[in-house]
Amino acid sequence: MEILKVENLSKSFDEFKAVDGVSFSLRELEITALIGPNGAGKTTLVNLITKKLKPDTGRIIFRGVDITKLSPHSVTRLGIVRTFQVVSLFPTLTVYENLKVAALASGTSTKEIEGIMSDLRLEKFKDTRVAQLPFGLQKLVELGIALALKPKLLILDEPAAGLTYEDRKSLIRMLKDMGRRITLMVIEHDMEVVFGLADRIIVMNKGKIIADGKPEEISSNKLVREIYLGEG
Amino acid sequence: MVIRDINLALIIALTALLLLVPLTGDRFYIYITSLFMIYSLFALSYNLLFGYAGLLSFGHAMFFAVGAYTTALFTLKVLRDPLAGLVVGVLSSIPVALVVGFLTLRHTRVYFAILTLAFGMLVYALLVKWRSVTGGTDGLIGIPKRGVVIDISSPTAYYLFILTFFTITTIGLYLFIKSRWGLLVRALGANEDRLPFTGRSPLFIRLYTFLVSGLTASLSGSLYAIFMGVVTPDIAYWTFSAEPLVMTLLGGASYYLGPVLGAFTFIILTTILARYAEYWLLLLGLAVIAIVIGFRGGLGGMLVSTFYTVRERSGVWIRWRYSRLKI
Amino acid sequence: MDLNAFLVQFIIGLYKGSFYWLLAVGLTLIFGVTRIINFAHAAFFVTGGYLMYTFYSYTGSFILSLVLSSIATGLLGALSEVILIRRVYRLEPIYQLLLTFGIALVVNELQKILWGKFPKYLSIPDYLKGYISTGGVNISYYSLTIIILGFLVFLSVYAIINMSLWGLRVRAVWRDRTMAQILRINPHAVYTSTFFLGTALAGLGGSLMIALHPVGPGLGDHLIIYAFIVVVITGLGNIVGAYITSLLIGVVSSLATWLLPEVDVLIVYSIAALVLLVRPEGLFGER
Repeated sequence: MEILKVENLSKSFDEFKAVDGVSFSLRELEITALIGPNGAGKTTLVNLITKKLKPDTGRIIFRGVDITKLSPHSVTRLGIVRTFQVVSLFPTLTVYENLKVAALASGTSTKEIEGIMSDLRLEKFKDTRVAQLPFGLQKLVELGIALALKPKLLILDEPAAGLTYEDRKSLIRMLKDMGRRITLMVIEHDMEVVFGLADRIIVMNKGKIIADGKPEEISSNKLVREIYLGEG
Repeated sequence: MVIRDINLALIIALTALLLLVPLTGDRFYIYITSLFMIYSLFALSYNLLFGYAGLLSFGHAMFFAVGAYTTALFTLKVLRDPLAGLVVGVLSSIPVALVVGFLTLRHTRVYFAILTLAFGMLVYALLVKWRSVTGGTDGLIGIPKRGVVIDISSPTAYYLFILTFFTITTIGLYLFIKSRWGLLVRALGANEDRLPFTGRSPLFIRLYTFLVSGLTASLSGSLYAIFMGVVTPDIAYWTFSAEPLVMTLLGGASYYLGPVLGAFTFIILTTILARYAEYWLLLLGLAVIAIVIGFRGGLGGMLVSTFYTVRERSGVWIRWRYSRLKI
Repeated sequence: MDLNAFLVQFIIGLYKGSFYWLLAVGLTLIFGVTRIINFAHAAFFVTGGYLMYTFYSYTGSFILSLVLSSIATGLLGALSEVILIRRVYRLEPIYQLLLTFGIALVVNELQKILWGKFPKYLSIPDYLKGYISTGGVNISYYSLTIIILGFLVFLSVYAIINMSLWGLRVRAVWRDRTMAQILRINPHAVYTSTFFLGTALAGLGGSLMIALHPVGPGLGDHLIIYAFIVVVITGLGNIVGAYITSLLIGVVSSLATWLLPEVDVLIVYSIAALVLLVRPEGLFGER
């Protein structure tokens, strides 16, 4: 079942075409990885879908609703939730309060918040100001906020960046588990995370999608290899 | 009864202290403390906007003046009663907050600051030019303390009148900040850009914060009008908008009661020091500079860090006793 | 409508606008380069006036005092940048605004201490006294001088920014601070020199004003509003626009005072509010 449909999406910054006529669909409960070299347009694409940016052309349809002209907070309330590559939390608020802000929009109860905190093993830090937490825990809070919003489509922007080997392994486990209940799209550079997680991989380069398929197909795709190993 | 929240405890303690003042019978003390309470409310309203929501405004005097002038006009022309005048004065801030807020809050913080300056001065110009209604630069006089509903002409009476509103508003505002609405305001100030991606509209939050802040500021203005008996346009001039800002900075913008501490310090400086030092404004300017460069926590910050230092150094016993307090 | 009276008011508007320009050009330059809104800018304008008074009483020469006071004011501005403002570049804009506000307070008060509470004024030097009579209208030489000087300042600033090497560095830092650093342009030197130039121009304005209008406490508070209004209607960061807007505001407020004295001030503020609401980047703004 199609949960997200993107048609002919484009965005330019002055002369530079960051996203060039991108079209694809996401199926429900499928874990999709979005990969590509730096500057390929992955984050811009996500910004367009989550309405952080306005598209120049194209349409975005989420669960049958045309969200192309909606504001970011409306889109979030409809169920498209994203995390940020560079952690963007409310620094002066506590862990609990960070999640609570999200919960207020999605109607998540206090019990559910505590559930999320214990799943992410953050209960100890419930009343700690987020600014005082180490980086790895902040990433978890970022994830916690996303979960507290009760997402139907969760887009994660480089969730593994900066994590240690063990943390990455538990991240994969956590996301795989999440993927059974929520449709996931993950932007990643770490191939271990990508291949350990994805049901489907979309490859972008220079604003266009150049490959889209199952992990085995992608790893043997000539074009992709060229970009990553050849000229990349 | 154990009050676990230190701010509430402080407010109650402060109210108790303030109740003692009229017992001294000294008119000057009563006068000064009344002014302190009025300025505290003004500064608290300002900090809601500035410290919690991160919105710097140079036109806050607009609310103060609107409240004051509306109260004055109402009691002089419609119904001679201070309480009624107060209510009307406070309510008059609602249309102002909605209109000005709707027009100015959709901009970035910097433009908002400048826009508030423009709007604030617009109100000032209106007050000065519309002589037939506002009395121009002479203002309005004869605002009554003795009215149909209540009579607060004696110093003790009007003092208690002000004190009642002071305590109720200070506690009420605090409860607001602790509520879900307040949480969103704090989130706005902490990271506005993240809010849309947590499902909330920053503009909406800015609007209701502006409204609450405006209501409180107008309340302080109305109290001022009744207290002084006179209103003049200078309470709308932009330099008056800067006063709650300075008070907030002095006391510490990140503490709820910081503005109250700042208002206290400010009044001490302006009344007492002003008698001895002609150039107290100079000291104020230097204090602002020093605070911005060095002590952004203000006096409140200094007090709190002293508290923690004392706590660390005094050993286990004090640590146990104070561990239940949350600052 | 009396054409002669209109012309007179128009000229008055032009020279008032020239004063606004001298005040606004520094503000816009400083903002463009350092991204700091200098609240103390109007205070320095007033300082220029005071310094002019002092230099004149020592030297007796109008032109020399003009030059000296402008340079001295510029130095003060640069000094404030080096000692104080430099420390807050990393802080949020709100705190930067507050710092400059504190500086404004200090400058205002120091002026009261040094020059007393009563306004100072100078008379127009003899060689600039007098009028031109054209078509039934008398235009004073002094106001013409101010208008011409304002225009010359405009041309010079435009030329310096767009054609000189220093101007090139300024534009580089204006566009992209990080890139400029990579290109080994020292941003601090650019900042300080911009503060110098901007404040010196404000000082020049104040020095010229003292012969027409007494300079005293409270003048700064009053002028800062106009400076902000000009800069904000134009849009922060546009020199040509700032010049045009300054003159426009001058003329509009002057005509308003003549035709609708009841609401003259209101008109200016209303226009400012209106422009900002409709076009928040300002009429010519880039941001």
